[in-house]
Amino acid sequence: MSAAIETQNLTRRFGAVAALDGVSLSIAKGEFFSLLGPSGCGKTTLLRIIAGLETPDGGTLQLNGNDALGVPAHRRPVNTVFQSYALFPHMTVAENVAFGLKMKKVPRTEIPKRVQRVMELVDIAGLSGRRPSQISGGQKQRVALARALVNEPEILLLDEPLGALDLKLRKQLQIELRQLQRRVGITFVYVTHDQEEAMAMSDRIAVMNHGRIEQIGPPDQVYDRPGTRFTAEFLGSCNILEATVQSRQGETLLVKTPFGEASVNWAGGAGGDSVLLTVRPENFLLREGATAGGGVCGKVVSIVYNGSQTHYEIQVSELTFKAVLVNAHGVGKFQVGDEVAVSVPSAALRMLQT
Amino acid sequence: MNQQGIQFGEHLTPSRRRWRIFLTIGPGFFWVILFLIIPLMAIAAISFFARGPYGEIQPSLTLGNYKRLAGFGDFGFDPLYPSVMWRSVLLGGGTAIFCLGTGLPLAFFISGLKVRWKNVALTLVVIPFWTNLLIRTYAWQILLAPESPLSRVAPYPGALAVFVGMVCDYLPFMVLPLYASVEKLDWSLAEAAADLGANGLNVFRHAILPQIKPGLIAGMVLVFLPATGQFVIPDLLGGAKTMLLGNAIQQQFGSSRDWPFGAAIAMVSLALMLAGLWFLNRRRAEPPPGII
Repeated sequence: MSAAIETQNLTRRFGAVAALDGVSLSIAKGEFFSLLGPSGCGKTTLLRIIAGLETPDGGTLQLNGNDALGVPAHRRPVNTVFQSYALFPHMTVAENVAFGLKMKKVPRTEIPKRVQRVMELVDIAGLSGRRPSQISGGQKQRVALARALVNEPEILLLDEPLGALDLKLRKQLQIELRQLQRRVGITFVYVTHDQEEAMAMSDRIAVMNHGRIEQIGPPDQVYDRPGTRFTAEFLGSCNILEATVQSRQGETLLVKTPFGEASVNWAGGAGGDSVLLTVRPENFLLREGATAGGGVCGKVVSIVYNGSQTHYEIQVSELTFKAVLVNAHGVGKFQVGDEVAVSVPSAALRMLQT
Repeated sequence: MNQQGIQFGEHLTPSRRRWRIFLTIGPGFFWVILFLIIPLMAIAAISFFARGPYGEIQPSLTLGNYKRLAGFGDFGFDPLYPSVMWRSVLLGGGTAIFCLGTGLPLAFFISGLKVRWKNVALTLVVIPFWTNLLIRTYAWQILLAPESPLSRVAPYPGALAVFVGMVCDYLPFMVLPLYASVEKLDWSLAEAAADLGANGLNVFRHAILPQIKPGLIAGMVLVFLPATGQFVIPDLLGGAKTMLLGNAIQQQFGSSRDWPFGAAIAMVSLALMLAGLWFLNRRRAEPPPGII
């Protein structure tokens, strides 16, 4: 079975800026795939190339195993939910939804049935006679979704579809979108700059930066095993540690970190190298007082209470680290100025490519 | 209603408010009453009067002028005046359509230029206005005279000359409103339509045309109405062989000294244009034909 989308070395330049700089990826059929990155990283350009609204300067694109670059947008098995929704203001909601079927010359008797079905699916059945100017942002989002889904595309592209909505509605629609995708089984390519959104919804995430893909993988893998400093810092918060390689023992390196010596699995590197390690704030172990039980001595510099968690900044000699503790029963609480013993299990340390 | 906000003019006393209304719209209002409404009513009244033997107006009510205009004169049916009206509508409509055909691509072209060149292009569009209409038309007369090379090969040299002159004169009235609406085009709708399977023609029909419709209607009205009453250009370039509404009216008020009949022609052409306007506006207010 061929992949739903397969790109090789896609490149797109706008003047001197490379919006896409050699992007190769493969998206499987039925996958919920997110393109995640800061604004200007090229994720929307990639989406527009898949949709046929933009032409790359180089590289190849295959949809379902067929070359797609010569195919105009209106003949690709792809539909898009635009960031601005781009609903036709002079048509009613039902006419907007029916547009694609009308263009594909679906029999006139069949159109109302399919429109009705998809409008029920996304829960806007009551809006058919309204104009886009008469409905709310969340409703517009659903109309845009219905207008794309009614065509039963093989691939649905979503360009920050929830970006304009308030947080609560966004969370709700995230869940709905994910459930909807499972139900219809269509390949979703979802563009977002919101890492929580990408992690909550996706089967796999491609983290993009400066027109390149930094890392591709399932959310937990991308979060837990960031390959590059960019990925580590863009997804959640992290601490970057400078460390020195002491020696190599087979597959593992013995490194010297600010928290003592640790061994990590890593193929490259040899004794004497400087390397970067990352550790997520939730992996720190904090204990009161003395360092008898292991770890190094640190001092609490600041505290941000966040309901379910407390965020600490801990100073260890000259360096400051971020740590997070869950506010569960029995977990220690600290005050600013407290002396704490800080340690990190070496399994939580991750090497970064330099 | 906004609790804090003060409505414009809310803090004024009623008498000061009346004064302000009077001072702002008063002058225009009286100007229109005095120089448009009253003369128009006079013309309307005169059109129902009769012409005396020496060209004077005889205040005896009659529908004779309108009958004559409809072709039923004193000597039986004569299609002279209906054909004058038809020819004028044809001239106005033809000019409007030719202007649309040339103005629409031009509007898209200008809107695609860089800002600096846009201003240059718009100035070029308006430049013909800087020259007197007669001078421009005489210039065309030289270029499009029956002996000129172009006229020798053109199938209808007379009609060609007339429409070239007309389009030249009225094109800016079409291009400027069209350009204004093309400039505001939301191209994401065109992309959405293409994404949903619309080919080039359907993208234009369903995603672009509805957006530029106001500019298109404004342009059509601005060209069609004055072009229908135009007679200088057709006379100079077409050889003054046929009569149009404009010179019919001029003739009746001038050499023929038949003010009542001239007034009747003026009223009918006004009614024709109002009917056209009403038609265009009615079409615009109506929701687009449903597809479900």
